[in-house]
Amino acid sequence: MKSPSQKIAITITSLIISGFTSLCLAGSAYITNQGDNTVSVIDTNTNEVISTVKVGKAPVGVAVSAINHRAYISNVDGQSISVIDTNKNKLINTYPIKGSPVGLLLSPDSKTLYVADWTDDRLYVLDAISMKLQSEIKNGKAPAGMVMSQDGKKLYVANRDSNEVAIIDTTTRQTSHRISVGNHPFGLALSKNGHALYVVNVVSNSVSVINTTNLKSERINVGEHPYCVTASKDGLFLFVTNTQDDNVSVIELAKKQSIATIKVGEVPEGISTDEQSGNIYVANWSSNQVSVIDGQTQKIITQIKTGDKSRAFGQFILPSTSQ
Amino acid sequence: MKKVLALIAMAILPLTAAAHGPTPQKVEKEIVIKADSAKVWALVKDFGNLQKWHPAVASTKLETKKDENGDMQTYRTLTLKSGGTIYEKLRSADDKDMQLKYEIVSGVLPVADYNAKMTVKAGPGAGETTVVWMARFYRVYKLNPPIPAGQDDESALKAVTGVFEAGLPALKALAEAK
Repeated sequence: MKSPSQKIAITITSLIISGFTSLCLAGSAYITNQGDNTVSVIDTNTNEVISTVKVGKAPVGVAVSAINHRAYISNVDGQSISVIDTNKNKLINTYPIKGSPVGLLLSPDSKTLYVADWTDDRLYVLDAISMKLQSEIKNGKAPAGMVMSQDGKKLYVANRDSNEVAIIDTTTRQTSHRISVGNHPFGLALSKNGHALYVVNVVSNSVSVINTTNLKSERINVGEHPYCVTASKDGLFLFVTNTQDDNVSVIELAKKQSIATIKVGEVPEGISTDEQSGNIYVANWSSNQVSVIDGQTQKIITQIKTGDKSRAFGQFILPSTSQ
Repeated sequence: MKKVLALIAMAILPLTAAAHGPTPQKVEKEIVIKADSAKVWALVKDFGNLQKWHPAVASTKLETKKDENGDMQTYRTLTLKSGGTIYEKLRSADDKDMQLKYEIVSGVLPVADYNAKMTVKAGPGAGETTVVWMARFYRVYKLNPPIPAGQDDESALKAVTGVFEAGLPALKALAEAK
């Protein structure tokens, strides 16, 4: 048995450690809430909403930058991009944009913001600080999810209504390859080493796994009407939101199949991995909450109340930059 | 004339496999019924007999046929009292969870990519049952503003809300009838 004073000492020590941990490890998840035109900011250490930021109409897409200390939000019905200062969690400004912005992506150096226009079939290339339009890229129908190689040279775009992923050379801004996938590709993720691209095929109820070197692909079946995908911290598993099954499929990549489903909230859409804790965050559109999954045990840790119709399309977790 | 209008509506809203708008809409309504949940679920899952309880439906025609993947599926054609039809596909009827899922293939409602579920659960009180009806869908117009009248989010929301608000009290009345 420990004495009362020992217990107090242990408690104080753990308080200091947890305080220290929150200083070092607290990342933030930026969750777009379509129905009330806000972004819920979740502290990924405490799993609590620490701030709610008003943005434009019907926010959907998210891109975050530790370099710029900014979160970029696409307001699809507002036809604008809102920029949030992530140090203060305050809105910096909202910039009008042509078309219907959905997918957002930052280049690895955070200098360039790519905006996918759902209805006018093109990408806008913006300076991520001045928000000035630099160029437009037309390459396929209804561009949605985007990811980029670590060296910033290759941009992968899911062209939903072309049933393909286009690879765009970011220097020439020309399409170098087109890869056929399933019907209506939407969310994308890239493995850490960049060797594998994961594509969610909404209407085919599957995920295409594409070898980015030889461009060969394989399909793995998931649940009904899947939207988005994220890889586990160790890269061995994929987690896929099944919007019409209210669950997340767990794919074991070595087995090339779904090995489990995890019940989450209703109509799960966006999904991202917190690279510090390894936890998986899922935005549930119909139940107005975020489900947090332990990446190791693959079980739900908690559900966090957010705003109306949470979507969070894109990589929405900003790692901590505190030292 | 009504038939002609219905045909026009069908032409405007073909199979909804093509692109849809960017912002999904939602209608969710619930009602508490003083009846056993098994009795309520039996009414809800009876996909071929919506006219039994929904006041807007004149008749329901059930059919089983292959879908685009060659799988046998159950469909129904709802003929409305106001004229026009709605063609729907049964997605699942789960007795364990007491949940019915279906989608609209085509029809007179001003919506696109419509899918819905009806969930039946016992409670909140003894001998009571709660029914939750939820639909997710898009407006008809797929492009950027300006959005033509009747094809906007408001029109879609109003139509679906009308269907749910007319249906649930009628379901309650039928289930509570002795």
